[in-house]
Amino acid sequence: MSTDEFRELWKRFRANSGGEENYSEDDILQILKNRAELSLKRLNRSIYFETVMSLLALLILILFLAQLQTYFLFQFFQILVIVLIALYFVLIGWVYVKLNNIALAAGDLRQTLEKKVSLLTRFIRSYFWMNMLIAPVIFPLAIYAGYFAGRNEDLESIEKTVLSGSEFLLLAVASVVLVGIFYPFLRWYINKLYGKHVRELKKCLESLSDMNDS
Amino acid sequence: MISQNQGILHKVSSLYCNDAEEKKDLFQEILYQLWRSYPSFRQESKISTWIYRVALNTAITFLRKQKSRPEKNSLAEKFPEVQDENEQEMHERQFNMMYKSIEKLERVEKAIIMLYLEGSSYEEIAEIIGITSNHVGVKLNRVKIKLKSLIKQLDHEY
Repeated sequence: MSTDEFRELWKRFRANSGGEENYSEDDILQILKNRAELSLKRLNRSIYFETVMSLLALLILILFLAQLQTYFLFQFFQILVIVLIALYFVLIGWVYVKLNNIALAAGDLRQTLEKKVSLLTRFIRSYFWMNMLIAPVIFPLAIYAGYFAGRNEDLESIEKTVLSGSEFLLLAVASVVLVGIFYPFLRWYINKLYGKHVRELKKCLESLSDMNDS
Repeated sequence: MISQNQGILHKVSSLYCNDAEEKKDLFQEILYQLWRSYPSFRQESKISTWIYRVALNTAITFLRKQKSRPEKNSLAEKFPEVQDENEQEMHERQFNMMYKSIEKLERVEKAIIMLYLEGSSYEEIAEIIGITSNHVGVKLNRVKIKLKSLIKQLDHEY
């Protein structure tokens, strides 16, 4: 088949858009009204999921904080985590607004791809490092609190407890192992949520860059 | 304006999505992006060029469901073996084979070949894709060669 024949065939069989249902103006208006529901399903779905989970974590932390009024150490770390979650909301809100504000008509495909790839890459990097910075703080604290609670009933003395050398070593090793497990898990999780999409977009952008470089 | 040009939206949605539900979602997403972008349409280009630009931008950057999508139809269903094939049936089979091969191309390649088949000029394709007209020619030649090879391959499989 020659390329002219391709065009002939396309005109002949795709000219009527393949016989798909044609929507009336009322249908089109209805589709636009239903768009809010659709947005919950797509790229924003993962952002919504993350936001809901963070909100839940935030609520749980605030509830615990209200009950643990006398323990300064826990209060301090919980407030730290609350601040980090709040920062996360700022970050995710910024990404959401930016992603939904990319004006598709204003730019060509290349410009749109560049904007989206840059935005998503920055978001993924910030998200990854924010989590990796929290992990070395939270995991040792959680292990220490769990270990202490298993040994003592009197939580008042938690801040006065001095760990023996072997106990300290054990807790340190456990923390390092947890952080070590968390690192590949986080990479996998981010890849699952956004990785494939970003790779596809980068591939498209590369193919356009190749063309202009050749 | 949209109801008159919705054929473009259907063509783009069909080319980029196999799954019926996903196709419908993409159609709606394109529609929504057109509605949002319309105030910034400065009427410097043809309305169809602008619609193609928004539709292809949306289709290419659209987040697909992360699942393995089974082929819509098997090859046997798509290209039924016909003993006494008349001209119409032969052309239909050739078109199906071409369409199936286009579906196998990369996202950007699909956009370029589709615009070419729709009769867009190199300048229009360049405006939509964001590369120079010369590079449109170069890329189009590569895509045509790839497409021919895919068709040949498909023909052998059949």
